[in-house]
Amino acid sequence: MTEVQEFQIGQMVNVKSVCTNKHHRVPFYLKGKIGKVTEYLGLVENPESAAYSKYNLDVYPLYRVCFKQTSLWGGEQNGEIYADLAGKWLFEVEV
Amino acid sequence: MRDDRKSMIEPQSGGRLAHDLGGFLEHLLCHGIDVSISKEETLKQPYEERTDALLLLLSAAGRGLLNVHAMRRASEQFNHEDYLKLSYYDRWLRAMVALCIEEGIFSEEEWLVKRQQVKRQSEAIQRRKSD
Repeated sequence: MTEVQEFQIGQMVNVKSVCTNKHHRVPFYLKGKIGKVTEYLGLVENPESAAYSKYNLDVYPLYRVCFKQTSLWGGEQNGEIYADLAGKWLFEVEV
Repeated sequence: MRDDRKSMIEPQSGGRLAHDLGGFLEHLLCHGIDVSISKEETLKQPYEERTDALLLLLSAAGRGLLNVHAMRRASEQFNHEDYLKLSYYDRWLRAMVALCIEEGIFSEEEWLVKRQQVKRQSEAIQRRKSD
């Protein structure tokens, strides 16, 4: 398996706004939000398929993404939230 | 009234599974769901240790019948009210039962029969103790 890093450090990304009742590793409050990639964490075991199979071999690329508190909850609070998200849940923001 | 409330908090209501509660507080409160956190120290109960042991056995490497990701998946399917009402180990237990039934280790009917049996036995023991 070749390692493909789809997003670059510093790049702005949008979290897919997909609702599913299958096991997935994206909290609702981040869906549809825009953040900045701060780190590429490499390939990790894909828990979204491991949750359905004890013989899971699938992996996915993981990114650390930084979100401004204000962009998630509104208001004027300072600070950021960092979330580790799979590439499959992100797409590039057109600048 | 109650049914109406239930339907509002089923998984998928507003696109959220049972565990996915970030920023959801007001919604839960306005449906009368208790979200308070008890600050009382709770005593460890024997069944909690057994629950832990059962999970270790079921998820043992090599012949593991379930894994932590599947456990999470199973508990996320509860409705919000059950998810918040159940204790930590009760969530584990319920998730393990769901996964064992899914894996065909026992059927739902066998589970219900066994549960009744154990319940009757423990009631009988309680009665003898109080006599």
